[in-house]
Amino acid sequence: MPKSLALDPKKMKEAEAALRTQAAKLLSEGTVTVFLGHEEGWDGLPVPFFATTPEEAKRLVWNPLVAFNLAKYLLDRLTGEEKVGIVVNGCGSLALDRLLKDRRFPRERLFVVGIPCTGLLDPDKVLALPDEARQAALEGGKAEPGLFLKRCGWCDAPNPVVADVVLGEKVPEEAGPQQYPRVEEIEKMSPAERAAHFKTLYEKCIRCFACRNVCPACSCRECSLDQWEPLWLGKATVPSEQLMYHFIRAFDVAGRCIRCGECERVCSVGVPLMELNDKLMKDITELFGVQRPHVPADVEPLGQWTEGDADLEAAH
Amino acid sequence: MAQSPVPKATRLVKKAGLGAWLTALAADNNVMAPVTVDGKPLFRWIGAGEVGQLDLAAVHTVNSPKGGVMPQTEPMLTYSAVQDGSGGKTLDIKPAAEDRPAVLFGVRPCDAAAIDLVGKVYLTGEFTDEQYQARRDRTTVVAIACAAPAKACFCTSFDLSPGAVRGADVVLYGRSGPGSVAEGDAYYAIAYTERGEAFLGGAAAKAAGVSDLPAGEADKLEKIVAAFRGLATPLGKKLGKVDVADKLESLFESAYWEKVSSRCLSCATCTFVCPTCYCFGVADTGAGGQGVRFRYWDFCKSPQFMLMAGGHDPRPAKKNRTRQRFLHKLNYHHNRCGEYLCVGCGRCVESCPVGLHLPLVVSDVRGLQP
Ligand code: SF4
Ligand code: SF4
Ligand code: SF4
Ligand code: SF4
Repeated sequence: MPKSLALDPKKMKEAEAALRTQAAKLLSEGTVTVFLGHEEGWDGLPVPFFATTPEEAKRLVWNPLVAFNLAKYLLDRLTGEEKVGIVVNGCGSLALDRLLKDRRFPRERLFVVGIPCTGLLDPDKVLALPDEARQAALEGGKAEPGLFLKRCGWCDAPNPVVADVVLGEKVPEEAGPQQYPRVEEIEKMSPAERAAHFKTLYEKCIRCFACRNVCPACSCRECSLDQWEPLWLGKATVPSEQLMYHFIRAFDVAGRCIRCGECERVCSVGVPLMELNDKLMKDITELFGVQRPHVPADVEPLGQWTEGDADLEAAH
Repeated sequence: MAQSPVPKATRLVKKAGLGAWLTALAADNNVMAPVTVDGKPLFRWIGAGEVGQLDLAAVHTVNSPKGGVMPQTEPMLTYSAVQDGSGGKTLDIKPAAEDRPAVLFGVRPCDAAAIDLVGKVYLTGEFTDEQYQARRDRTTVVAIACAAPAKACFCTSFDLSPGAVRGADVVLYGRSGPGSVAEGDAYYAIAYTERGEAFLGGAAAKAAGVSDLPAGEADKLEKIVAAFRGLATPLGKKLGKVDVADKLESLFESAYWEKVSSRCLSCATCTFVCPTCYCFGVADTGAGGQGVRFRYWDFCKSPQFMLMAGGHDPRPAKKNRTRQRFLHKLNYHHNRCGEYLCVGCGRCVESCPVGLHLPLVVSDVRGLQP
């Protein structure tokens, strides 16, 4: 857990007030026609919310449970000229930058409100807490490391990398090399163990596509996994197709995955999707010397070719 | 409330005997039961070797046991091109091989009711789905009453309860009554169908030590069963009876659908975990002149669901698809079959990644201007 993750609900409360004011201003001045944020859902957990009037902007929330990456919703607004407002923390800004670097949404049509992040909690885990413990976490900031979102454990970009205005002070960053302990464990397995591991891993997947649909790196106009002609992915939930789904998904985001862990978080049956994502990131570091493979860059390691590429060496 | 169902047989089964029961059943049946896999409770087909993973503590498995009667992928027929003797070829078509009989064990009352509810779609009216019928005919549903309904449970918002019987052949009621998750050391096993009666009298039940009720316990049993049936559910209390079918008649064009659907991810989570969603698609797989035709779960939230050859899509946007899902459950089905297409299991509440679920829509619709 990075030291910077001193969960600070008080700071978030202040940011929430500033966010509401900022969004209301943008909407009333006509700078944006819609503002992408979160509101409180039915059971108290935040849900994605798109405010269209200054009045609605009052419903925006900013608290330790705003886990959802909002950038993906920009794909619902590709047509039109309207300018869109959006709030991002660190990882939210990586998701946004992913779409920008993939040229899936024009920067000119965005107004980005950034909020430096002191960590987020896993909504499911918080909801399961007894009332007192929940309050202590949400209001007092008293949270065990296990309550944080998994991604907070490896986050090295708590300050927004894209923003037109930043609310609140910068938080300290610790950019060390990324760790992939689970991948190391799997790499230590014998080939037979590994084969068995991967065979059972995707068995329980119900192929709901939530992992793909939530992913900011999955933004193709038409996904090959949806195509009927040719039918790349068969409709049967049999082992070969399960592997096909998971390998294509992982390889298509290789080099562009921002390590937000949203795919794994939204999976209702608990498929550990980050195992493959992390393996590919670790490989990119080892083969191409890219220290922060999850951070969108202007020139991506897998988006170029040089004579000195390590994978060429490895292939010989 | 429906009339109290009449028991056909009542037995006692020790908790400690459940493992032996399932092991004995697995010899001749496909057995589906709730097990916990990497921390997630799931309904799965289990072999005798996995009986130890049985977990009846979690009220909600993530998925429902609907796959027991509607497999996510179900072969319908096999085909092969064969020489016909005169130099030509004919197609040889064989129906899919039948599975062994099945026991769905530890099914919650909402999920058991869902099997009956969905069964009406497949089995009544002009057409009968023969393959579904055959599967139902060889399936025994053993339900377990809920001693401690989960936060998202709202079966009581319909004509159901934590002790309801609909759709079940046998219901297990914890001998110490509702209120504690532990449920004491034994269950009353009550058969409500002939199939259930035979099941409780079968060899597997004997192997598990299923015994007659101790003398003088009939009164206690009656009280306990009544207590299960009178139990409130947390979300049901908040929601009350679902009552929006008529109101929805005039809300087809409401701007609400656009608004509520805007955050939907168009995934299949809600549909696939839901015990009452039953749509399927049909596809072929094969090569070299032979193959299999199978059906598979499809989902109305998918942008591909209604897409037609030629590219026209009658439900082109999230608002159309979201409206379809909820109107089907809360209006169309009600108009056609006289009941809602929902049993209040709460899975959409627990699993939708963005908090867009049936009770929310019910409560929103109540507040809308017609
Ligand atoms: S962690 Fe998952 S959801 Fe996030 S960018 Fe990577 S693949 Fe996509
Ligand atoms: S979210 Fe989980 S169940 Fe759904 S497709 Fe992805 S891995 Fe499979
Ligand atoms: S309502 Fe929720 S679970 Fe259903 S498709 Fe939309 S995002 Fe997925
Ligand atoms: S709509 Fe939701 S609550 Fe109703 S049966 Fe389906 S998953 Fe359960």
